[in-house]
Amino acid sequence: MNFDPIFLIGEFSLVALIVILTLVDAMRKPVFALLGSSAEITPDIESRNRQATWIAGIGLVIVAAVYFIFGKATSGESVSLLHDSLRAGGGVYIGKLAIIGAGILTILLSARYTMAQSIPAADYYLLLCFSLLGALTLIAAENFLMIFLSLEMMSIPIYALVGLKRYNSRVGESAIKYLLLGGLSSAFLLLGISFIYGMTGTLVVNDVLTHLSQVSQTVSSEMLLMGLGLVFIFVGLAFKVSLVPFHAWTPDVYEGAATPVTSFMSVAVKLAAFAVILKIFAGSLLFPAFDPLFSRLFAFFALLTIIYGNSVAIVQKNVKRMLAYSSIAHAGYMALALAPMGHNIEAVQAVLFYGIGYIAMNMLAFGVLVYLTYRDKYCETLEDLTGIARKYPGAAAVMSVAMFSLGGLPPAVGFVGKVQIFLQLINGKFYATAVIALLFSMVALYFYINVIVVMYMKEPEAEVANIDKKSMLPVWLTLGFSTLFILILGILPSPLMEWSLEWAKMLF
Amino acid sequence: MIVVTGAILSLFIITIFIPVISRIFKENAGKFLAILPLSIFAYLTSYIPKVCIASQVQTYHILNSWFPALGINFSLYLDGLSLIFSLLITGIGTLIVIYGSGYLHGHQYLTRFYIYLFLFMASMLGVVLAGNLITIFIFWELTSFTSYLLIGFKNESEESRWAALQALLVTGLGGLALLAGFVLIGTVSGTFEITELLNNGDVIRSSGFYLPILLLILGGAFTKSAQLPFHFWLVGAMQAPTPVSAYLHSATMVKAGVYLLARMHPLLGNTGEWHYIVTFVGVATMLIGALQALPQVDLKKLLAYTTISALGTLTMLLGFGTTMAIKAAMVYLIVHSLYKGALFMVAGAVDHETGTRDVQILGGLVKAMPMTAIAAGLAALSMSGFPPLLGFISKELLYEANLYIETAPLLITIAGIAANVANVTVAAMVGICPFICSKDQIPATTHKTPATLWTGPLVLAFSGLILGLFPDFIAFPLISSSVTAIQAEQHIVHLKLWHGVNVVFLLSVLTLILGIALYFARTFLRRNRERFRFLSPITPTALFKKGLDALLSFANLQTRLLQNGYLRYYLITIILSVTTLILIQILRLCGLDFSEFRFDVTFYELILVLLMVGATFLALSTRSRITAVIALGVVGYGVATIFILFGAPDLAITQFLIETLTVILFLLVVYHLPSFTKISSRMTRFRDFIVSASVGVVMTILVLSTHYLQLADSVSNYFNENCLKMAHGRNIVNVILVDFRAFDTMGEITVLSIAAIGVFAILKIRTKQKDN
Repeated sequence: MNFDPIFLIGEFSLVALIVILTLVDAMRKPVFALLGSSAEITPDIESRNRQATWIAGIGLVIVAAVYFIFGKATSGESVSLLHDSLRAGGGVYIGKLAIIGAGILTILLSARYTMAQSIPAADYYLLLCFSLLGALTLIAAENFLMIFLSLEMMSIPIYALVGLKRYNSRVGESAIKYLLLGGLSSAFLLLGISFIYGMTGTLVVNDVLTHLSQVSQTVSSEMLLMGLGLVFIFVGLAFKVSLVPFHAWTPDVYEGAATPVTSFMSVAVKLAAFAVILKIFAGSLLFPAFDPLFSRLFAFFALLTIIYGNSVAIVQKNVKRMLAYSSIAHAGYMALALAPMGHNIEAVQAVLFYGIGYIAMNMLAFGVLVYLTYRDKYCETLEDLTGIARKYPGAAAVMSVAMFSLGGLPPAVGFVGKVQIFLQLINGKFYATAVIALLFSMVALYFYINVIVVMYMKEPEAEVANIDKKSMLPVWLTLGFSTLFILILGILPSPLMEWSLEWAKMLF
Repeated sequence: MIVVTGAILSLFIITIFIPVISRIFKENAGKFLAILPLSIFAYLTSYIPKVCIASQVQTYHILNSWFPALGINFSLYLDGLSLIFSLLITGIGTLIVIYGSGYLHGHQYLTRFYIYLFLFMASMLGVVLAGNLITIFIFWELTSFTSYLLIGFKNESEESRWAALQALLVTGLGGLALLAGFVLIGTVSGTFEITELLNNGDVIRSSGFYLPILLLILGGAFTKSAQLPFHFWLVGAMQAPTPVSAYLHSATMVKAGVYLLARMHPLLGNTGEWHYIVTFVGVATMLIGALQALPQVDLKKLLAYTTISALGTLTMLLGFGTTMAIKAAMVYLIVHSLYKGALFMVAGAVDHETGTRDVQILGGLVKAMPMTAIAAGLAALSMSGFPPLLGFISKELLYEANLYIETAPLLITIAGIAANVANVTVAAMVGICPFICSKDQIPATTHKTPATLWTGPLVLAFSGLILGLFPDFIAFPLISSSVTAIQAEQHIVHLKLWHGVNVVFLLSVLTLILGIALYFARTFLRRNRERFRFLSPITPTALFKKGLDALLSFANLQTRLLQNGYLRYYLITIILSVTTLILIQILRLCGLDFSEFRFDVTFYELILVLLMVGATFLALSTRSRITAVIALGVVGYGVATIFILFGAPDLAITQFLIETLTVILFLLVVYHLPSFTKISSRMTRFRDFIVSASVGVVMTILVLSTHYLQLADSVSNYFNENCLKMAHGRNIVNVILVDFRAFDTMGEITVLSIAAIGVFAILKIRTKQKDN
């Protein structure tokens, strides 16, 4: 095995950032302060928070730059590293850049939020970086063990991040729900992996897939255990991307968590989990023994998710909760493309395209909420958004772009994504499924447009509160970047289609 | 063609600069802005001679690889049909911009109005010029959205917001149907390009998907063009400011559906399904619109219902599909846009000057508003089909088309006459009476009507007159080429004003007489307004509202069922879903076949199992926590003993240790807790029993179905072989721990130490709190 560290340059530099962040924060405050007898409170928490924010922000930009420049060399041929644990290079380069990009956007949003809400910044950014590291290794994972480890590395920091706003009982409730249900789903995943391992004696995904192709349809118990293993893995992963009925945690957690964390969960975590789903199921759907069942499984759960997510979102008064249901529905659309799959690279490409586009859309929507959050008042409900267009025309305009894209209207990138997914369905002859999904994307327009209506057309009951314009630049960077991304790639989607195709090739 | 592309783009781009322009030009911003659509109009007229040579259709590919993978290009397509629409859009658009600047003079959102209007104009041009189905769809949806913004322009009124939303939902839903239809066309024929599609209409007509494609596309066209039963949104849309109603809801946007029908005619037309569906819907819409118009007293409502009726007429004519009908449709399209646009603007001017739109009050305005009166009179005459206006020619053509169709010419001619009689009546009510009727109290006009308010209608009304006098002026180049485009074969059309006295002419005269008679019966009609209520079930506004309400309660129901906030229900949902999935897998892959299962248990095993079952029930039923914990411990020990019986002592020892540890830990915690109280009801317990039993049963089935499995090779052989060779040790367990899996061991130790430090820290905190 020749191991070239250049292939893991992104991960290594992220680990370096984590170490620096830990050490610098430790300098200011002994790690074992709790063990000491004195309970002195460090004099200026704010300057410590600011320092951690700066380090995390600049650090992650450097990580991205390093990966962008040095990792480029790897984007040609992909290699397997560490005994087929990780795949690096090739199209994975695109995926990792997307995930790191989501991380940077999150940190840009967090800067203001952590300051305003006095969240312990060092803990916050450390956890975020750990989760990011997990997401990076997850999309590169080639091995079920690595998949499990990365998934946990990605999720566990999120459990903690959700619970970081301690003073609120709603937060505590959502964090504990997430933790418990997350544990359950991990258990399902492990059970599935152990079934597969028991049958095949290998943990390498591609070897398992090869094995699957040799499963004879006559030995039913062998089929059964393999099939059950896949079902359990499906359940575990369906939880992570919140397909109905494994979605129950999503609205509570999205509502309870700090808004930037919510946005990170809804895009990066979801995209990485989908990459794994594609990796495992895009391959296994190839085999006639499993194809019909799993394709029906995906169609069924995806439709359920779309129907549920879109219709329940209508009655939400809280925008974060509404976006949570919308993100459930979007997971449904992405899963829908898997229904007619049968080893179809275009379907994988469509899902990844949607996933990358979704990063920009959701970051934008949540970014506006962060923008409008003031020190003692969250901007979360429709009422808080009422009539803001006059006072904050910029925020209202970009929010409208986000709603357009989420609703799948042209000329936003969400439209292109939806068209591709529906084309996959039509090509796969899933007509009824396509019609139902289409109807419910119409239903979805109602609540997306409603946000625009509320912002532009309703008079606020009370005066629109003033927001603290301090340290607003990072938020604007996120908003600006996402808006441009949505509009440019919505009008000229070819580059994104090529990138996602590159990445899709890696998942086979 | 690159200039045409530039034209659409320039309309989009100018919206960015509108705020600046209106700041610089202030009062005259409208006039300045009107230059752009006017110059596009002028430029487009240069295409008239080009398109009339039938073969010379202009196509232009702007982005050849917009979606390379999907074969979607951004291309434009210009033939006679698109040209007629483009001219109407830019020409009337110019007048509307000027008119709007007068109508909304001093309005605080005037700038916003211009922005919306130009966005709409650009999208609408895009719809009619797009050369690719997907591009058509994109612009189509943009027109729905900009129309939504314009209808909801008076955003402080609840009614107008509701009307805007209703219009958006109805047309948006139609748009999605359209997209589905387009995608199906693309799948069937393999292309989205109109140029290529026009050559293989047969492929689509003969494919098995013809009917779904037709229905989906008609769904899109009918919602947009306010055909029955979707016509209700158009009446609601009258909440929009009058310039918007004049432009979008009579002259242009509602005609997009008609455009689509015409465009799709070579592809989908000339089949039985097309004839029956399109004609039937068209006739029904025409009649219902005309009937509902009669009892109205509001100027705009009168015009709205006759617009619905006119759209029905156009649809009906396209449904016939005969060359004569298409010719009539194209002439009617032009004349309707001219007179209806003019009348809407007149209605707006009257409303603006007098503050009312009630025809019962209005009268004698000719002195106060002479120019408006001329425009109104001319437009009304054209609408009622008096010679020598273009309306007369159009009506002649319409009757001619009606008379010469194959099925039920008599019925359809009567329906046509009925609708036109209503047109005459409404024309008199809207265009004549408010100006010359004598009323006891003539409404006071506040000031002199500004020129901006009468220029538009006057230009449109005079165009109707000039085109009526010289019909060949438009007929030869425009009508010929558009009929050619719709029929996909060469046609040369000539129009004449005077055909001599024949059946058609007599019918026209009859229409006028009946219409005027009906006009004098207008008070009777209004008094019997209630009688027209029988038509209201056909107005599905209520149905639409009910649908929305149903959706909301569906959402609430789902929330109660699936999102109730209780973790236990979430868990139940997940567990039941998983067990169902497992059961499906088992049933599908091997069925419930236990024939190979041998029931040979020994005495000890039976005792153990009974003991475990007993302990389980004890744990469930006891009220003491300690008993419950110990009973669970018994179950664990039982499992460990079974491991021993089946020859796995190492596993058994681990199990024993862990069970002991768990019991001790539990006891430590439980010691501080009160004893169980029964807080759950009988029903809850029963439910929990069902859930746990179903999991248990499915798991049992799973175990039974897999008991004779051949697993992959065990890893122990590897250790056995390599223990001495690679690690130089004979104690295999030790070697595994410290060598083969050294990292695991290290990790475990690390985790344990971190946990220990954490526990220590927590204890510290607790003592500190006690000290304080």
